[in-house]
Amino acid sequence: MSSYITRRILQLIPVLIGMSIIVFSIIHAIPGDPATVILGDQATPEAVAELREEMGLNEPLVKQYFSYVSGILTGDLGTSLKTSKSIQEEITPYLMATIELMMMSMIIAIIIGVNAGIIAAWKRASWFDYTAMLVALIGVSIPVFWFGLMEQWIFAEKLGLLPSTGRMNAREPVEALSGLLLVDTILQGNWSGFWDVLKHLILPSIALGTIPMAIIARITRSSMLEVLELDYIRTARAKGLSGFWVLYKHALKNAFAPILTIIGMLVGLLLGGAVLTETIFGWPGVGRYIYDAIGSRDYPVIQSGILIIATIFVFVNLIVDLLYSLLDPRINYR
Amino acid sequence: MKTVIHPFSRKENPVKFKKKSLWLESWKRLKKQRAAMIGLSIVLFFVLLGFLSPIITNQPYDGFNPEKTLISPNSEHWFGTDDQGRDIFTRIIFGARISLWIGFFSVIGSIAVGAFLGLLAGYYGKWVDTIISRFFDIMLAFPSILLAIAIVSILGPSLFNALIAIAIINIPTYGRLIRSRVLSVKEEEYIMAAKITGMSDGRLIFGHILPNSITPIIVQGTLGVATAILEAAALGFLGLGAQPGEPEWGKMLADSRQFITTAPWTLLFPGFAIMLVVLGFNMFGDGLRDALDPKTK
Amino acid sequence: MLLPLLEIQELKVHIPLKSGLFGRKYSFVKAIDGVDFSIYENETFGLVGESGCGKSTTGKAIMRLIDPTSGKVSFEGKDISRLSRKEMRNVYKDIQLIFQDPYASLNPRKTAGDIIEEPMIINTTMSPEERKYRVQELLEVVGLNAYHSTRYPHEFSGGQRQRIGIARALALNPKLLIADEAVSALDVSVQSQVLNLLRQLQHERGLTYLFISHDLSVVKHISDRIGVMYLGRIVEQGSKKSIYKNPLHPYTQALLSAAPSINRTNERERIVLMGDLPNPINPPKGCPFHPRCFAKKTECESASPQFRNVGDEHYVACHLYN
Repeated sequence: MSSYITRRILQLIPVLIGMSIIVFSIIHAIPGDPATVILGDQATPEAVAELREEMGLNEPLVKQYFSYVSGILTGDLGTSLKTSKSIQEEITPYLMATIELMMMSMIIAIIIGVNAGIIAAWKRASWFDYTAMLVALIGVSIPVFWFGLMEQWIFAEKLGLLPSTGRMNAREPVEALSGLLLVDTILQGNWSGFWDVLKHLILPSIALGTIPMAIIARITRSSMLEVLELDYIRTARAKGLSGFWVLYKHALKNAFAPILTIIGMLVGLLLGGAVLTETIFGWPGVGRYIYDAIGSRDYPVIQSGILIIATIFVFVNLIVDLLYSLLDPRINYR
Repeated sequence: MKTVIHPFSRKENPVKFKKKSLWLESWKRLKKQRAAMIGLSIVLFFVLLGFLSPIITNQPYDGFNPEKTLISPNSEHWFGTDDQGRDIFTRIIFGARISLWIGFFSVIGSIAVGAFLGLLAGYYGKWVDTIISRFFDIMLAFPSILLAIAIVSILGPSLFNALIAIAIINIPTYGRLIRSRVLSVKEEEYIMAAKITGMSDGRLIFGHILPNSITPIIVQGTLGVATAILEAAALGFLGLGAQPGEPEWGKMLADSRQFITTAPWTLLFPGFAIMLVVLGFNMFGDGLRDALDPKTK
Repeated sequence: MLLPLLEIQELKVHIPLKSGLFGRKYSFVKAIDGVDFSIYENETFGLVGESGCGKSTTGKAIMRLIDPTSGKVSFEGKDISRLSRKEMRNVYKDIQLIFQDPYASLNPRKTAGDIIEEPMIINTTMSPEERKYRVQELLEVVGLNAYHSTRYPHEFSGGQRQRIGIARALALNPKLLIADEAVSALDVSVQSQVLNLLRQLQHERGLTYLFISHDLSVVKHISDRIGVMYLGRIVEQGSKKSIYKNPLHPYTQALLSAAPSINRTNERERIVLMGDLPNPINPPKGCPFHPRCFAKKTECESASPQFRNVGDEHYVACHLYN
């Protein structure tokens, strides 16, 4: 068991090295001279030379890579070309905004997805089952960005129920402590702020959570259908324990394992979807940060942003794998 | 003592017998899946739209028509017009070509490369497997759309580069699938039986192992077209795929965002088109899985 | 004396098992741990033993589906145990294998005709017509019909499938056929049909068989000489007559006593073996059979018995016959 954990962690090393090489290569894979590309065609040769020097582009490639990696390892993610600020300072609030959005999406996806899946399996072949599965099928087929736009059109523009962009009302800004604004407003006892932040969260987190919700609902349903065939459930039913809630408790326990196995994949979907969702909802998160950087050819920001997201993804997968190995004794550790 | 029947003893012509097709039997099973047939109809509908687009409509999909900007849907412009005065129905029909084209060819590209790597990894094992599997792990460490963004930001935004990026990011999905199939197929007795006919590795891999590993790839590939179309639209929406003028659905949405209040039809129809074609592939793929590959869920 | 067609000397197959961090610690499953026997032209050599004793591995090691760890496999006087995969291709024309499971050994995506034809495509210069004709001929030789050539494996019964497997093995006119549990997966009535087919083919074509089975009655039916395997080694070897009439090794005696016999006058007292087959990763010291032996002596626990001739080409590895 402990050797499984060690091996799983050691396996990360080549992956992390590979990731750093890919991210490092982004700037060198651009056709043409990176400094010229960044500055544009009108740049003076002096400016280009200066930028080359500043970015260390005159050094040999191997040396550039090692100084890049040693920078990352000491927490230096480079400097934004646009704002001239250090990226690791700049990125933290963006990161927290993305995490808050992702967590909210995940909570919505799990609560609705699991319950819809359980009820659909329970009421198999009923109108609820058919509707839920059709909705789930549409859920995995709908483009996140279009769904977000439709939400904005209906709930913000037509009905005026919810704000369509941003994290909070700009006129009454909330003070950030951790960067997770829902938590921060509670700590400060700022209830109107909390309500405001929550209202801003609803539309983007539903848009982002739709695909995970649909996937969770489908998986829960199919694992529930298996569970309902299990002997002890049949026995429970035969003994007259036909009450929905008794089985609901069983079901909830059994629904957990299959969801855990795909949670890594779902986090990947959320991290990718965040770029689109944040763009639509003006959400100041990492996805938008990277998107803006692409527009302004701010390659250090693109590199570090992608590296951070990938690192988060890798570690989430590690934690999921380890949790799963703890929970399921049947897993093969070889 | 030996009375061996000589192989060339008689040179009469062999009798010819007809053989049935395994695919035909799968098709018969597939036909019974209602959802799959609905999905297939949707897909074929869009394929037809794409092929016949110049016949269905005589309006241009690009150009500027100042008298006709932002007209709401009517009998002449079924889906209305956009801010450039272009007919949205026409653009959607031509857009079907782009989306299907990217969907099909990116998946074919991913499968070609992924299947090749997966076959090598699964068949030869050892260090070949280690290198290829690590390569897959590294690629899968990036959320796929982010990797696509990174690749396009290197290659430069264009439809073709979006196709390349989408093909690249999906390589490990197919590679891993093939690898795991090969690992189990190569232990089958019929593969050993093929080995002792003395055939070459190439014939063994492509003639025996690959055909027996292909079913899940066909299923995954169908579902993969759906994913690829969504990814292409996302790149187009972010301005990293289709370029101005090209009637790509994602790009159409991005260009019309500002008219969300004044001309919602500019957003409604392109997005609905994406959803419908993706839904079609998903339904067809699910049905294929049930028909071809009943063991996997 | 005749030169053996196939001669196996000190053949060992040790399969490494990885464990520990990075898989550095190795332990070995000694699937075959020193096997010797010879097969002469036009005879049938039966190899019997419990499942897991290494008899199937022996067949696969001869065919190089598993690479031997050490030892020699000589075919027509030439060592084939170290040939490359390319060089082995020539050998496969002369040695063929019939597989155990007729449900798993035929490619489900190929028709019976394709399956039988393929060895000819690879190894001969026959024209497509000649091949097609030969396929139909072979199908008839094994008791099927020519029209079966366009059918897929799933359309056949187990016995029919095994006949296809035999036809495939015969396609290149091999000299030696290794039948690895070739009838074990079949119903008893079908078993005897297939066994009779094999015997008939041997008569007609002068084939040589290595017949691997756990089933003593099957082996008795078809073999000329028999080797009894236990835990990766041959513990007794001799002609069919001497093995069945006069089994020497306690293990052989136990096996024979357990085999069902129709002839009640011949029935022996049943010997029941205690315990299971020991773990081949860690075989017992001394005689590998001693933990289960009913005639155990003290020296059995320490010294490994020699394989010796006790007369009339009957060999046994047991301390009882020193």
